Amino acid sequence: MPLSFNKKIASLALLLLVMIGCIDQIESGINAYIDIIVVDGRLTNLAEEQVVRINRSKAEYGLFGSLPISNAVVELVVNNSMVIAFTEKNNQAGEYILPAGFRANIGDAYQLRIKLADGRQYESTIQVMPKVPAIEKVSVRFNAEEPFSSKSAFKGVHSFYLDTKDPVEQENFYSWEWTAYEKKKWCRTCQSGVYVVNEILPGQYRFSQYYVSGDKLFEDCFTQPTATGLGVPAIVNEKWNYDYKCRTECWEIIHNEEMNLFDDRNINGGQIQSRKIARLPYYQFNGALVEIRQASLTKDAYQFYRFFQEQTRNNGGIADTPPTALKGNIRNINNDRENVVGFFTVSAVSSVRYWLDRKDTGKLEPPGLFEGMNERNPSEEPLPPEKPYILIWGGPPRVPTATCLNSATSTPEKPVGWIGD
Amino acid sequence: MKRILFFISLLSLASLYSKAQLLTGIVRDSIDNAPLNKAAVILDYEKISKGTYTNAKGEFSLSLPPGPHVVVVRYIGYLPYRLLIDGKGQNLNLDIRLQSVSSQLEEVVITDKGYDRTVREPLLGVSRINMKTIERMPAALGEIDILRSLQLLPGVTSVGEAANGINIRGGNTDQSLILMDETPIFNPTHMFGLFSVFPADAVRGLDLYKGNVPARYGGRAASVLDISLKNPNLEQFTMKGGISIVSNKLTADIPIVKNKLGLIISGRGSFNSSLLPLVSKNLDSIKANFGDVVAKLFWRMNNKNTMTAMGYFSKDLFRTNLVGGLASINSVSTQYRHQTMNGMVQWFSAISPKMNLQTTAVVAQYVPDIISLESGTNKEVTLRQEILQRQFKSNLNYQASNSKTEIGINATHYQLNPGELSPGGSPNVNYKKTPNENGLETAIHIDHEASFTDRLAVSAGLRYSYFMSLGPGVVRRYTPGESVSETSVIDSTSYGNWQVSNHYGGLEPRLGVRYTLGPNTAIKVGYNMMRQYLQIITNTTTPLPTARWKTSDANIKPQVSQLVSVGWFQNMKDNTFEFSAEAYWRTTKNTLDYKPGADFLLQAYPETQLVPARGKAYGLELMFSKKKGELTGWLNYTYARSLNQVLSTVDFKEQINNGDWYRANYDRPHSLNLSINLNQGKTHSFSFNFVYSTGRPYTAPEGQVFYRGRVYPYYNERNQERLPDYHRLDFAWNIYNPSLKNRRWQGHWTFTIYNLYGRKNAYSIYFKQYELYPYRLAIFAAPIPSLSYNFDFK
Repeated sequence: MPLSFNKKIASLALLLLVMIGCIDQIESGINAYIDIIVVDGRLTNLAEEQVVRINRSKAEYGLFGSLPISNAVVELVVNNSMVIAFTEKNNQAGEYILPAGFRANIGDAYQLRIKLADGRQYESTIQVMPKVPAIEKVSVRFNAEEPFSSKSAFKGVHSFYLDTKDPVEQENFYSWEWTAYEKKKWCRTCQSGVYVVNEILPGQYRFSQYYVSGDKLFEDCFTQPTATGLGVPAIVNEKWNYDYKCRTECWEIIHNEEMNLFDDRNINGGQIQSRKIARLPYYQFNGALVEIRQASLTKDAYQFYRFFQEQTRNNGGIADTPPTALKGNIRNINNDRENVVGFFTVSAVSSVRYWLDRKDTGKLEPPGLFEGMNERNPSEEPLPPEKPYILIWGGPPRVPTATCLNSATSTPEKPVGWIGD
Repeated sequence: MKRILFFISLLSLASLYSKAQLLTGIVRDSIDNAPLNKAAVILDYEKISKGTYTNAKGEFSLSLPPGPHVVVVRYIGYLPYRLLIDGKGQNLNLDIRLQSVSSQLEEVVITDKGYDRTVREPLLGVSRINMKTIERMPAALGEIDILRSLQLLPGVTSVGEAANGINIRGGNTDQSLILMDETPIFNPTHMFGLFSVFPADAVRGLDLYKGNVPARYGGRAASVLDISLKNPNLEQFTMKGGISIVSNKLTADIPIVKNKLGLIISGRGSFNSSLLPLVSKNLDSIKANFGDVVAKLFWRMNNKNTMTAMGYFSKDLFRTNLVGGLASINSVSTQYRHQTMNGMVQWFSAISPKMNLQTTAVVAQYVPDIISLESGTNKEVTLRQEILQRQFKSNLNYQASNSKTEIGINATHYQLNPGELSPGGSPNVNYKKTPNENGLETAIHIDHEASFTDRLAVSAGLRYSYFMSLGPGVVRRYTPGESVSETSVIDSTSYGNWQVSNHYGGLEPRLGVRYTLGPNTAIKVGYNMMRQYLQIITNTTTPLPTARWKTSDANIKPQVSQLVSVGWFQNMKDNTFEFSAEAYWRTTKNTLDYKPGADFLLQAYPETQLVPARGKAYGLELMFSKKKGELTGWLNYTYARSLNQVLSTVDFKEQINNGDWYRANYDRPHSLNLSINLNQGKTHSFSFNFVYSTGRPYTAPEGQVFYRGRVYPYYNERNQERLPDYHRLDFAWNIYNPSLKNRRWQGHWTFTIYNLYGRKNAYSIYFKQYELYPYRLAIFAAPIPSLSYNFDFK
């Protein structure tokens, strides 16, 4: 009986009921029949890549299925007059970016227009970028007793708190986000496979045991093909994980999992004090860099995200609001009845980069980044003469290191503000 | 073999030397003393080998082997007689008087108003459960719970085990008027729906009107639950109390001036929030407590006049740091506190033996608070709401030989504080107040019940109610035909104190007709119309104790419901068995649904968060009960539907399920309830309850979307899925006065197992991000045994 119970999102009623009740994960799944366009577009006033992502989430693609939508014409209308075109990234289908020199400004009005390859046209409402106050102070408290998560056996968490002064002259809506960078040692996990630097040559085997490496760079996990036949290595009916170390310097990127929203209607002009905005488990001795962002939202964006947050926080208690269709601010200009997921958001951002040196942790031993995040020890591919599940002939010597991926959760580039080695 | 022979001879020797005992006796009817012929006298439960029958004079004779024996005397139509004989050798002569079942008082139904009332009275859909029956029923965690017990009756349901109220014949929880000694109860449960607030030891009885509602009741659209408290005992001091796992309770009945003035006081308090950390470490920051106390003073002024005063207080406290509190307060912990304070004074005057006048003044106050401890400053920020209802009413009753008439007037003033935010010293939080709402509801009513022939009886009632929405206040006008929102405001008008900003009114006819087909059979037809000027606006599955109440105003019309019902009623075997079948159809107009993301707290114009809707409900209720004998109880089956629809005038973006009829949260088509009580003599009783019902509807996602780098469930149609069927068996064993001695202090133990076979009935099913399979929350997920001790002191 897994008592999966995220205490942050537990509603009070649920807590009561847990005394005598229980929570199980059950077998019945979703009867999925959706087919819906999802637009993820957020514009900030920072000098950074401004991205709009478009995908189609459809039941046919499997339960979590979504396909990026390519070849759309995406435009930004500034102050009802100037039109700036987005271009689709070469290496990321469905991601459209603004020209590098573009900078959005507080007080300007923005609208997103999309024309899909099939001719369907969408537009967002016009959003005016609201001001955002500066973050006045970030403070950190360490709790050696707090578990990493409700399911984790490891303890010790740094919590981040922020102070800011709410401006009196306007309605303010806030969204806080954070990104942490941790130096990592382990770069790749191959599930029931082995990491190979070069491509494995199809149809070539040695001694009915080895797959044969070619010369073309591959840098990925190789899992057994299902082919059988004379000379083909026998299929291993086992499940395993092999973890590979990083070849170069590499950083893990950790994002906030939940939205953190606030509106000032009850405190207008007051101080927002000690607002809890982030928590980072004490994974390792090394310090970590935490970027904290305070973003402004328009009122309708706030209402959308708040409603969105409520739905994803549902936990079956009596305080739950029954979920309903989320209506964003993007519509099909020819068909009002088509529901589009997403809210084109324009936010001014003030951010702080905080170096967490972790010198306040006393004698507590951290588990290590990999161990703490995965709740297990890394398991390396065994070195010769011991044999791994899959044998490779040729190529660079076993066991190889893995490249550092450049993705949403990993980067080989030293983050700005990183202190130390 | 030799050994066995030896043993047998020993036995027979023993029987030779110890004298055989002779049991003789006579068996008679307890009322007319007529001897009962052929009554079975059974020895040690072996009817054939050892038993005998009485002769025509009712006499019997049995010879008893030595040793203890059990004697049972049975006769059809009579309660059995049991006796334990110690077998010390003396002869015994018994004079046994059996009580006939038909002369026994009904166990299930209160009999003070006529023994076959269900069949004879011209009203449909009236349920009365005896408090004794409720007390013997298995109760979750040993807390006697009126609302939970009522759900064993046909037509009474709820959204689940933690429901803040009951749904009667497809009505919302706020469409049932709950009265306790004339005072309204706005929040009927403690601990967010786990226990009901009524002090069972002080309750005399309850009437549930789910069909025909007498014209003296008004103000709610669906039904009336009228709970009356005991009057104090004017002669003898008595005390009653008990201990259960959840709470302690004590009731004292104090005659202050003998036969003149008495006071009954009953209190209950929970004491176990300190047990929470034992259950889970996560809960050690939770504090939960509740208590209620009721006091009633009764003064017999003279032979014709009495005066009654009643006060009731109830409080709940729930503190946690695990959930955020108010949306726009930066808080570290939150406390929920709500309290009810009701008072009532009633003067009863018997003008003549046939005519009496009853005049009542009522004050009821309900105050829910949400208190957030602000981060950084540690100041308590309080959001307070308040309902203050003041009421005056007077009824004149006239009873003729075959008719009775009631005339009355009624005035109710409502003052609602929909929200007041107090910073509690925090420099950051602004004081904020949503304007008070004031309303005055007045009504006159007349009820007349008469039998015209032996076969035909009619109860006709008419109520005229008139509601005024009063100033001070600002009333907005919105562009007709457009969605009511901030952008469709045309203008607004300010009203001063007591100025009428809007009014509604109308007739509320009530009619019940009974036509007798035979001595024990009747058919009935009923019609009922009710208007409701005060309602809950909420968007949660069941209203929270902190849900907002709202009076009707220019933009929120009163709900009007109409109910038609027909029924067949039959008594069998001297009123021992009763069968009834009732069918009903109800429509309700001007109900409210909410817009996606609606927020009502501190909202001065809640109409901008709401959409107009209508409701319909229909059903068939079959009830079979056995009201007398060793075994009493009932079995019922209900088919019921409850559906809502957003009006077609609403913009399609705010429609729910494309404007089609959709299931209400408590729409549970099939339900079956069985309640059995077995009385084993004076010291034991066993009770079983079995309930089955279709699971309630819920909204399941129609798929998942990939948004902002994560996977989220995507919802669209409301309430399109159902939880699995609900069923449960409970058991209770009551042991009364185990010492068997007639002392002034008598103890009584109750051992209960709730959910005997431990079914994990789903209270809800919900989805999380990423995860393929949903989670099921079950509240009473295992068999819950509990033991409680109660005592009487006389």
